[in-house]
Amino acid sequence: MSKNKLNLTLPPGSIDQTPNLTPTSTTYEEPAQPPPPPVVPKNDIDHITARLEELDMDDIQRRRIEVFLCQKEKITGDLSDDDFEKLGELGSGNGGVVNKVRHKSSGLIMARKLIHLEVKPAIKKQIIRELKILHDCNFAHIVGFYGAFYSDGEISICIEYMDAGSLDLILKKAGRIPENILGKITSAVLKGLSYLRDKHAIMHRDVKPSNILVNSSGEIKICDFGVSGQLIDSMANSFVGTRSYMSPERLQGTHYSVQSDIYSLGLSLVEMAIGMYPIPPPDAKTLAAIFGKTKEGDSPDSSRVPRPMAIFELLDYIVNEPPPKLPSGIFTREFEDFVDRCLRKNPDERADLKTLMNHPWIKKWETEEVDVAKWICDTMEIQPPNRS
Amino acid sequence: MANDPCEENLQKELEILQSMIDVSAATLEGLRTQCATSAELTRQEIRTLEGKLIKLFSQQLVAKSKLKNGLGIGTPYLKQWLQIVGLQTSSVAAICQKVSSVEELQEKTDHELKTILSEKNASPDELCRLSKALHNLKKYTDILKRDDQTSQETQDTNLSWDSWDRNYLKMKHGLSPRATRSRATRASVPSEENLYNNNANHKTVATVAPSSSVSSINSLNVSTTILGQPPSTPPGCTSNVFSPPRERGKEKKFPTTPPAKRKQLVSNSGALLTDTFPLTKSKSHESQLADTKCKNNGDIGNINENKNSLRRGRLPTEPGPDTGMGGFTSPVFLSPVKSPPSNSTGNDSDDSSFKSTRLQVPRSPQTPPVKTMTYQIHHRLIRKFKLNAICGMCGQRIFGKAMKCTDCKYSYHPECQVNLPPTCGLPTGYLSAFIQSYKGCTENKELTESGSGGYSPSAGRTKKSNSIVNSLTRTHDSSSNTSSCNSSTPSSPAIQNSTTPHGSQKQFHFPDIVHSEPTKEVTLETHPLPAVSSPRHHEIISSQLSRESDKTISQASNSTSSDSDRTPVRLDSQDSQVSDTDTLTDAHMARQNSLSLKEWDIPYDELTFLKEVGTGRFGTVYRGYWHGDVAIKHLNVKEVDKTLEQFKMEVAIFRKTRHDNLILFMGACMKPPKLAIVTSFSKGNTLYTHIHLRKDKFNINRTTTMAQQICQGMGYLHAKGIVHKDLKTKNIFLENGKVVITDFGLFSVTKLCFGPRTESLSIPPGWLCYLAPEVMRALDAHRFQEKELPFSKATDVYAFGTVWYELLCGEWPFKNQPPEAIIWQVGKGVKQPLANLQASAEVKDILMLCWQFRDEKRPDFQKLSDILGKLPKKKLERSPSHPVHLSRSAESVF
Repeated sequence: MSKNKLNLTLPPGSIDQTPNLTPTSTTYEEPAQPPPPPVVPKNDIDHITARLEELDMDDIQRRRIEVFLCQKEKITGDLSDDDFEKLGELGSGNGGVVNKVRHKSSGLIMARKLIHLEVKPAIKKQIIRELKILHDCNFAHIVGFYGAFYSDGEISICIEYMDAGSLDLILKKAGRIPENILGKITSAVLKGLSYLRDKHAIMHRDVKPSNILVNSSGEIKICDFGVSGQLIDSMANSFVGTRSYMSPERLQGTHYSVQSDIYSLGLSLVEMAIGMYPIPPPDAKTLAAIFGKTKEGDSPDSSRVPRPMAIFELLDYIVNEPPPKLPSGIFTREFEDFVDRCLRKNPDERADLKTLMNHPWIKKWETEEVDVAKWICDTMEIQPPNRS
Repeated sequence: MANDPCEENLQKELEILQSMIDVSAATLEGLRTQCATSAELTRQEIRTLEGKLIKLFSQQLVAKSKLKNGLGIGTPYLKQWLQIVGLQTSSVAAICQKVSSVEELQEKTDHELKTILSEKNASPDELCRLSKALHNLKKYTDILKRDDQTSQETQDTNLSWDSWDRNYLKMKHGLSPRATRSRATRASVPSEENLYNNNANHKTVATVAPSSSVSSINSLNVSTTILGQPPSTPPGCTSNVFSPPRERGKEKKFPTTPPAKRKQLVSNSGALLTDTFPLTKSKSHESQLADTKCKNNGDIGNINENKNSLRRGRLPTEPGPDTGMGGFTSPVFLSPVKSPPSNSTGNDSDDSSFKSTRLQVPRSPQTPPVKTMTYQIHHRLIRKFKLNAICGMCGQRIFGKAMKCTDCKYSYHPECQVNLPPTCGLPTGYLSAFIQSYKGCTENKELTESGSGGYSPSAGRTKKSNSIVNSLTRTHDSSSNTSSCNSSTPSSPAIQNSTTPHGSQKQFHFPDIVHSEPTKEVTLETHPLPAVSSPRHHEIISSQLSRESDKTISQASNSTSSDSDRTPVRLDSQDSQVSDTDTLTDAHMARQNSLSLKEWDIPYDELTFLKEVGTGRFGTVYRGYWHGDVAIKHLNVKEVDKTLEQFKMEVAIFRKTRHDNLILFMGACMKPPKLAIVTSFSKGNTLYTHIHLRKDKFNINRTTTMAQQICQGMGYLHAKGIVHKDLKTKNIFLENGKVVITDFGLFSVTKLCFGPRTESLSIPPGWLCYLAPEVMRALDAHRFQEKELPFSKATDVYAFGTVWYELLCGEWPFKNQPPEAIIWQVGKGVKQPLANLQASAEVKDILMLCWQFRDEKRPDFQKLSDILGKLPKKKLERSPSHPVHLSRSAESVF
């Protein structure tokens, strides 16, 4: 019925209000037509390396990507179910299970996400094709992609194994995440989102702690972005949890854009900073319990049990109530301001990616040396890797 | 045990025992009056209690006997004992007058008791019960006195006396006056009235009623009594025509058989009817005797008939003012002709069990062959002096002394008398009429078979009549008993079918029932069921509990009908039962639902799984085979306990549904963890497939027709008080242009099949857009599994709106929106914008009506159907004249 089938696309030159779009005015949406053919042949490392030069990465990051690509070279041909040996379960996420697996022939450790799908062969091919765009997403803050295949009613997406897991796991373990770490995380996520938007014209659509992965090397990468519209449509079941990171405009069914990702990032930041999902906002007593004793309080307090809300109630709160914010006086003014700008309910008032990347709070943490790897390893009680 | 020699302790013991007796007695009374005593469970329960009470009383007696001044103590209370035994008030009073204590009562002989009871017109089963109970009491008391632990234990099982029967009656009266009871009991004697009914039955089919053989009559009698299965014809019509002279005054002497046990109806009526009388246990023979006796209650039969004709309109389930009679009469009137008699799955097993048991019949030491059920109409022989007569038995000429039956008019040699079949044959006049009317509808296979039973007074005549009877039963299911009677055991006296009791007036000679004083062990007393019903009863019990089918009253009424298309499909008949059930009160229904669920139990092993058709949220759907193509929804059960009850509830709902636009529910496997629902298999595709996968477009007329059919099906469901809860295009099949709705009411079950995931709500694709705002608002990821979503008829209407939208647009509303967005918008009252939907305002109005935010503003399906009917049939002009693409927001439209 709608001409705008996916209801999300912002065609270039659209008369619709697209206020805070970045000047590039790219389509952030996976268009209905097949994605542009990969410009780069997969094995053309030199070409990729050349392109890597253009990206905003330091030498270490660049080298790591090269290493990753070299390892990926070992995998010849399409992946299949038989190639893997399951090592363990990493978790179950939105619509699927994630296993830690070893690719038998190459010995590579990967994370294999299985998504149950019962679709026609045509659809499944389309999904695999759409996922191939991930081969081109080689960036320091994007989780590396090995390949995707369909077997036995399930789409498998094989990605880089991040040994420290996702931020929601870290958050559970740590209780709260210190501001300096959050600064590094935010910077990485913003870069990742920019990369996706600028280079691939896609938006993430599902920014939340569980979709930000870290490893013992201190790398911070985003995953699970909406690269395949067909995959989203074909997901057997969607899961609605007790938390939602969805922006008010998206909930209301109106047009949304990458600004929506920014809201989700803002909400995730508040959650990670205070150690609890901020809707409904914690009262003073709860906050005192969290931050009262020591400012650096490291153990989550048992009293922080969120009032259970029905899904609609929660969503309605997001739409109609004032946005969450950081408790004052605990974090830096810059951080508070950064979060406020992210969580503006009106997407037009919300800061855009570019603005945020130039925000003083980001700039501050970019320049400051923070040993993310050490914090992660300490928190998750894992050994830091030996690699440089 | 009351072994303590100390007086005080004994006193205490007595008190404790008394309180235990009180408790048990109350429970027993409750069981008798408030539970379906036809349920095997209830019976077991009653038997257990009876055994317990016997022990308690025995203990009291023993304890009392040890007291020095024991005689002065009131306990055990006589009155209570009598009530527990199951006597009616008048009998209790009578006994209490003459007897002062239980001990004294024990001293009485059977004869004395009988005298006391018969003064009060007590039914024989009361006497039976009493003597059985007393016997048991004595037995156990003796054991106690001997302190014989081992035999105590061995006796445990034998202490009951099956007292439920009369209470069933009582229950039907409510807790009502026993005063009427004796009358009711008498009235319920399955005596001649049944005969007439059966005759009538024959008549309906055959136009010549009187020729139906005695045995068939008897067998029919049995079935009627047991099953409460009435022949289709109301007795009124026939009774007048064929009413034979009745011998009055005998019912006092042979008071009555126990009341017809309507509740005892088993679904296998058909099976039963095809059986002869399978005499599994000696008891049953005894009950046969009773039946025989009953024959004598002619006048009562008369009364009944008269009553019957007056009370024709009464529902089968209503307890009439004299229910004892109603026990079998009402079904006569109301038994739906549509229900085929063989509504049981167990026909085969029935047959086999019948065969095996039948063989025992003649050998049963307790039952003289003469007492077998099938012949009860004896020759009335008088001595004659004949010079030129032919012996009906040996065919030789008779000179001199002869025996002549005044009923069948045949004469025999006195020496042939011993060989005489115990049942009168048909008089020739009736026989020929009978033959004529049955010509052509005969399967002659049976003829030879049945003819071989050489018991007829005159071989030739018997052959004919037998074959007639057989043919009759061929064409006529309700009498199929007869046929198996005939064709079975030639040696069994049962085969003598050839007499018609109605053929000539004065034909009935009811021989004095010599065998009416059964011994305690074997007697009727032990068997409270209506005499005739017992064979069946035992067979049921012994064969299979599940078939024993806790049938309830209403079901009783439909199991037989003469017109029987003989389909062995039990569904039909059950459905008719179900529909009858609907007339019951809720309380009744609830109980009945739970009780008769077993009817719908399909043994898992009987199902053949052919092919997986799909996976739902609850499990897997298979195409399967069970007496034809079926769809099997196999539930993945995680929490068996919780699910099973819910599942049974749902199954109870499904079986009520019969509508052209609803899937036919066939049964369910209810043995966890193998839970499955079996329905007919829809050959078509789902609307979902048509709309979303094949992208079929329907024109507006087609769309409207389908929508109307959906409305009709849904309207029916709602009228039955069933909320679908999951109406969606995936649950609607299109079968040759006909809409078939499936999966109604399953939602609550499927919900339980979710895994342990507690922190998030799994949402199947396309599910959310069917949920009404109030449901949407209630979704809760925290407590989804425990919480009941507020589904209602109005939410079904909302879902229909979405279906209507899909039919019109070919896609779901809120397409491509994330679940959260749909939840918020719908919960907030936002509707899918219809700006781009090119349809008439009327068509859109329907959507708007169904999607009303306030549930009370949504129309019901009746209304929707009307509105749809009024839609212009012509394909509407599209109106591109106005700029539809200018997006009107949801708000502006609504």
